[in-house]
Amino acid sequence: MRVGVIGGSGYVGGELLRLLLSHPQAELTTAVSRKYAGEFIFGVHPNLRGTTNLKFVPLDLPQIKKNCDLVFVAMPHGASVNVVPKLLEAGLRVIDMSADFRLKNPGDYVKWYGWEHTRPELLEEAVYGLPELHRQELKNTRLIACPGCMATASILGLAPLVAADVIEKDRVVIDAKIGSSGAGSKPSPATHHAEKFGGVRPYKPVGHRHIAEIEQELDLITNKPITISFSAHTVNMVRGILTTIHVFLKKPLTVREVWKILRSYYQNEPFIRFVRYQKGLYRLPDPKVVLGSNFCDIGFELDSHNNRLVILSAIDNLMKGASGQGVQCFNVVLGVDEKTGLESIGFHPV
Amino acid sequence: MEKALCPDCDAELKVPNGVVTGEILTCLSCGLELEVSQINKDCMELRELVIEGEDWGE
Repeated sequence: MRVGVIGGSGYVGGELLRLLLSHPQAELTTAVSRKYAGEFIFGVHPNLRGTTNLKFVPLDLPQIKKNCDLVFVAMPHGASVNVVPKLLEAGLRVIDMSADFRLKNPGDYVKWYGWEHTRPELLEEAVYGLPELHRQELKNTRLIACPGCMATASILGLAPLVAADVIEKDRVVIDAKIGSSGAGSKPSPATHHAEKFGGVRPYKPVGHRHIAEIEQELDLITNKPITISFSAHTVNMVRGILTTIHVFLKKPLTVREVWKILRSYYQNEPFIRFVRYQKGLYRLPDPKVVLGSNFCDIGFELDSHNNRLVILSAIDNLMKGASGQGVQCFNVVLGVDEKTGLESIGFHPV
Repeated sequence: MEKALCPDCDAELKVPNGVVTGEILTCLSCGLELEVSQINKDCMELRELVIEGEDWGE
């Protein structure tokens, strides 16, 4: 299938280009960047040197329509909503990496993003791009809204427990830690090395935007409302997310029962791994281990002291948290093995 | 090859043919080390191998 990437100069766009260039079912025809139009894409993404001579081009809808069947849109939140409808009207399929089509309720855009949605009719149509929850709907949609990175790690950690109805739904606390690439490629004083290096910055202790999509998706599992408490920290790594999720059990569970809940929910999922190992250095999920891969590692520990269950999930924010997930959705659309083009098992040590 | 369940995580363990009492098996799912404590005609008893744990500064 002929594919294009709009917004190809950022970290998510660069990761999409990397994955699509080696994807056996994708022919990358177009990489759009207004800022870098005319330049080789390896000039911006040096890891792609020697893999392609493609150059960035400006946004030109007739050309995109002519050269693509499906387009990945990796534009900033609030910008995507102006481009995606035009691509759909041109008959293209779209995988949007921004937040612009993730939420079903238009009012949530005012509440969480501070702007009024201009194309609310598309929100109902868009499918939330988390294959573990929406595989069937993804197959035939023309618009996929890829989840947020921390939302992905949180939802995948919590979904089995919500589905099993074993946790108190008003006491769910997510402590998320993310590497600096989560802030995007545009520098700011907050990302300046001297300020950022060596620190742990609680940049959004309350009110993080991903709460909206986490609650939306977990509500859908049982059609009962759930309240998420979420705090985000940026830590001293480039890639990776670790979420430490604290939930309280309705009644005590054994280790075996928690294992059973997780295994039965995720049976045969190609990118879910369980990590609760009794020996060695990596006994619970650690983002370091999943870097460069599309895996989501999930582990847990029971705390009998207060009937608490601690769930841990680790992903690479640019892979399962963004571009890898987008390509996994692309594979669902194509009807091929979801691991196609995503076989990388990550590095060790990093 | 016989099958048994891990007493901790409930994963299925593949037990090699000819296993003997005292042999150590490892659960592939959770890494628990299990000692074959008893073998009867139709069942096998496994118990957790107790090893010294590490103290990470607690």
